[in-house]
Amino acid sequence: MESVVFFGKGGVGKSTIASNVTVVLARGGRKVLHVGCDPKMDSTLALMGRHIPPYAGKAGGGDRLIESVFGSPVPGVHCVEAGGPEPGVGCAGLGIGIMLDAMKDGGLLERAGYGAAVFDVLGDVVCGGFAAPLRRGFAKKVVIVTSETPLSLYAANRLIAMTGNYARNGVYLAGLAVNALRPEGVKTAEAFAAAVNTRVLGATLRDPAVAEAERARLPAVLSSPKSDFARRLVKLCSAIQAAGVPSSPPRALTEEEFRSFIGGGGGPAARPFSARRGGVPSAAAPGKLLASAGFSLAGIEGGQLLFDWTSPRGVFRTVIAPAAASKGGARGFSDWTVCFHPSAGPASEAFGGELLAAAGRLVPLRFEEISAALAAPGGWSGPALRQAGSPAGERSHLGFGSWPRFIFAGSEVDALAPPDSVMAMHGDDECRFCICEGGALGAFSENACVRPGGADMPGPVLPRSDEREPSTGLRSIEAVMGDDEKMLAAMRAAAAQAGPGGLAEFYVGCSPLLLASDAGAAARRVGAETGVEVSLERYCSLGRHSPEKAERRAAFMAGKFRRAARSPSRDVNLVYYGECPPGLRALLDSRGITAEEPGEDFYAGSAAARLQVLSAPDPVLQSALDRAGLRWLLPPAPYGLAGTAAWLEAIAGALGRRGFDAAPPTGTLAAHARLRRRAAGVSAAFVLPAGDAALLAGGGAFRRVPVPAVLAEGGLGLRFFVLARPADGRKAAAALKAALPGLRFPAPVFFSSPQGLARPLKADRSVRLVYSDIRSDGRVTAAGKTPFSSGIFEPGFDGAVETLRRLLELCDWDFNERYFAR
Amino acid sequence: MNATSRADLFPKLFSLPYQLGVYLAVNAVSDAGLVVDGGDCVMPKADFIAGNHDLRSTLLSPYGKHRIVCTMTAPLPQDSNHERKLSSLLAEVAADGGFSAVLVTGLPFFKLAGVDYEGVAAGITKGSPVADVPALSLEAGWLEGYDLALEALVRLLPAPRRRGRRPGKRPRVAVAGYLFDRGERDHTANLAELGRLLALSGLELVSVLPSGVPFRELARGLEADLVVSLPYGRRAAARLAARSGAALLETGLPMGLKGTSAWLAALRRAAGLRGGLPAAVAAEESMAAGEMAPLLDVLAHRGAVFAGDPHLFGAFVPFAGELRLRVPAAALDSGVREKLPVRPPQLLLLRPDMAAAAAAVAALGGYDKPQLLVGNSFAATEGLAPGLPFVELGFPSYGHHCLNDEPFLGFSGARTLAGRLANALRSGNGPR
Repeated sequence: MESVVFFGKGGVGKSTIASNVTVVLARGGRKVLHVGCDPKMDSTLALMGRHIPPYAGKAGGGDRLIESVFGSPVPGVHCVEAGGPEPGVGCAGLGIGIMLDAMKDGGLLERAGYGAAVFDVLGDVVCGGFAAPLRRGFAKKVVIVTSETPLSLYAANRLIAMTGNYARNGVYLAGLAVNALRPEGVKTAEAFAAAVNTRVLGATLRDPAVAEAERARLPAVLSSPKSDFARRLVKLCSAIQAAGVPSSPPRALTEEEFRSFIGGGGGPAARPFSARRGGVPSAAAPGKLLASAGFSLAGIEGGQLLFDWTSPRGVFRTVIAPAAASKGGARGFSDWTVCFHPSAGPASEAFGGELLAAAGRLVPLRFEEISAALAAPGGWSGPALRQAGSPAGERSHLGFGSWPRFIFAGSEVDALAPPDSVMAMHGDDECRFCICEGGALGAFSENACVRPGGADMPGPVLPRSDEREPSTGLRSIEAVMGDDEKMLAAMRAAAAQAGPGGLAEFYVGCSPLLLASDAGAAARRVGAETGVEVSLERYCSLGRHSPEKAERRAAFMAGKFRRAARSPSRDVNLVYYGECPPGLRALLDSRGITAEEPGEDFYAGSAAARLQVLSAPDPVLQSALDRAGLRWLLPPAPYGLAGTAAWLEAIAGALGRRGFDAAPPTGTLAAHARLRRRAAGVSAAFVLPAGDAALLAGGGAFRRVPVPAVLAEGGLGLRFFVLARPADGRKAAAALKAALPGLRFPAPVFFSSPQGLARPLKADRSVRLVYSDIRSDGRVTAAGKTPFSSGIFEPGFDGAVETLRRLLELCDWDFNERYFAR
Repeated sequence: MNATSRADLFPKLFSLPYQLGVYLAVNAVSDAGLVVDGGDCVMPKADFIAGNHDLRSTLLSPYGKHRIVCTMTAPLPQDSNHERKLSSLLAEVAADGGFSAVLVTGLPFFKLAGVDYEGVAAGITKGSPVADVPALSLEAGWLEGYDLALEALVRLLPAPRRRGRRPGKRPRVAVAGYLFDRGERDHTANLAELGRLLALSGLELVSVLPSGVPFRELARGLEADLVVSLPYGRRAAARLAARSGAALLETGLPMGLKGTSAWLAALRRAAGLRGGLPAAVAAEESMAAGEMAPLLDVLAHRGAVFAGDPHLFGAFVPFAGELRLRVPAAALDSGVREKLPVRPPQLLLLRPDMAAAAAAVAALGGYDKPQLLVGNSFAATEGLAPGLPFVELGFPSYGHHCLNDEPFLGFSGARTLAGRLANALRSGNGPR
């Protein structure tokens, strides 16, 4: 079956050429389907003599498509228009894709016995949606309609590049159809064709017959069959039908080459170019070249490649970027640039000359080839996989394809949503399911640790569980026809929920972002209507603070604190202490310090106390409390006997209590001492990469529980297994000592690869416990040891005794040793 | 505007996303891998299965060898050629050697951008075979995702060997489109029961797609004389039959006593066997009935609310009728449905707003007031029928795990499920 796709710059005469080709094909005895892929819906106007209803927005697939196919007055011709949204809204490319998918799924062309299909696609290809006709097995022959004007040729050049991207699907450029403004323009087009290694299939010239035919809504080959245009069109159609796969594929000009061509340089000599024909380029040679020049891949950042460059002066982080995307200060080579990464620090500048010399060895490589080196075979944890799958930010503890950490770094500061604020998410259903509690690794849980007791173990609920975090559930129809109404309604609802003076955050997900939905205009409109400022945030920033977001939140919270102000009736308010306040409140009470009971109104609870006792650093909350004139304290975490005493002392000191007794009760001390004696001779181990030693010092790791200190207080030995090269051992050992001042432990055991951990771990018989934030961590159980995490640590003096009891129970538990040790 | 009207605008729908179905299909083939084009926000969806619903899942690994990998790509910053990066990653995963088959799909915004997953997959010619699962999250739900992922796997199966005639041998049957949502002993017991019953019926079960086995073992389905299409994988079953030239029979789930016998009889007919079911099958049915009978009075004239997937619902309602248990209300977590039961419940809600559904269930009064909740975890956690005894069934089941055989299909399944229903009513195990 003849299947031709016409592309070309808008206004170049593409629809005129395409519809007339359709007529000529039909006159040749074929049954032809003419497919308009332009939201303007005018491709079929000449063939139908009227506008036809488009397919856009219809749901239901193939059957509904048939309803959108109309018979033309021209014998043998049927027409369908994809249609699309009004200009500037929705996504026309998606609409075209959906219609063509339905056409393919339903087998329309085959079932209806068409002998030819002509696709007339919107002026320029602005996104992948408009390339939908080129998807595998759908249409293979591409004709680009162009005139001799620079803009038209520029569009043609880009379309040639697009065609190359789909060469893997068997798509090929048949050639150019020139619709020249002037007869001599044909020569310009021919020169361009030669420069890009293609041919001119035929040329038409400006002809009054065409304008006349358009006014009559008829194809010119029918209304003026003897015109010059009709004669040339018939020849063009014959050439299109005869065109086969070129022996060497065309090659689009680079920007520089195109400028040269337009400027009279004529462009490069036509030369074959290896178009994309499936698979990825061989990576062996680029990989070797990179390695020999001292560059090893370190990551991808914003589409730029990060390399660690090893020089005689040390290792420096560098950036290799496409020339078009490079920033100031980078030096160009081939089609890419190189510079030091900001993290390399100012000292790196002294070695700029050496970097350029090393980069000069890579000159034979184009950026594409350097990128392709990412695909170098390297087993599971090969560079592309490791880098593509290594999440940044809050999930950096889980490197996909690489060795997950035993100790999740956590977040050093809290970024909790202010109580009473509203956080609406404008996204699709996949977005809605981007959070989950529990799971195999617990890696995505808010509380990434195993808690005792099955009933307390977090498990998934139907997202979004918090009614203050709803999701709009974007659907296909809204993507095609525009999501303005849905977004507006959602914002109005969020604003109403927040109320005057409230805080409504509206998170725009990936799909609306791609649709370029104008959330800003909607927010301004809703703000004007309701008086509520709807602040816009980009996807994935729910748990992160930008300075602007932090400021808005702090101002909102400060206002709420001020409005709730009253005469304090309690000494302290425990802020964000989670599920454990009852014991801590009782402890405070036993020492004469009154604590506010948790209630419905967060702000009123704070106002009822003279001192806000925070559980973790929270810059937004701290700023809001300062602005509202409320005193706050961030004491040490109340874990272990010493930690709890320090917590009490800090609170008492802030309250001005003199002669305060913060010591543990005698009975508690005795119980702890009895348990401590049982702990003699057993150890708990920590496994970490060398660079993670600082995690042990505090910050967000261990849910802010001082795990090593509590273990040591309980009499358990501490052992450290560090993933490091032997050469780095001394440095890593020093880092451990620095991170845990005052704690005694033997020299760490080093291992050089993840596979090398099991043997030393198993060999140390004193080690009964291994810390891991991963549930039932198989790496621990396979060594016959028992994993534990901060989830079993309880606060307060009684909690210290209970924690030690639990740890010793785990030490006595030989289940893993008996059944899973390998 | 008050909170109620806001809830109307932001209903929490009883529905599951498309990709969760894709993940379930990958979970069910022990050495399949999946590359998801998107940010790391796609990964928590694996936790809705691994470790929460399926304690035996290997989707995620503490060694880092996850079977789901994401490209860490977002709309911004834009890549100059995103497909090239995807191709590189896909080529590496395919070449890894740890997967026998690799699927690729993407977040909806990539569909908006027109990413050609089919072409990208076809461009990977080395290593494990790669197929695309269309990125239909904006149009379809989890059941379509499951079916399309299975269909993609069937596309990757090696070319079938010629099926020779086997005179005197039992006809070979492949069951395709089974919802093997976890590797626990509810499903392994179901499969054992189906194999046993087919053997009693003069048939040989050669393959169940999927069943937790490695990808290459699924190729045995191409040797079958008859492909039985279960509702979770109509497309996959049709493609399997088309590839092998086997006969295709579309059925529901073999649940309950009569339902199981009718299913077996249909299979025999489609396989060309003459006569009714063998006496051994009838004896099994009678024996199961005899064991269930003493408990049936517990269930008689009671009402159950069902909440779960439509295919399970389609099989459960006739079974409930067999037990004299009414189903006055149901909430289904997918818009996909093939046919409603002969006597649909008076309250049937598709992908409902859970708050509204709970209110509708609470409004059931008089003799329609239900006494039992049967359904997935979300039915309980969302308070669909608070206080009622709860039998957790279907995906997801976060609160009920099977360390022992607990089938729910076939005659054994009828016995086991009837026992669970009756025990829940007798013990009044709600509320959760």
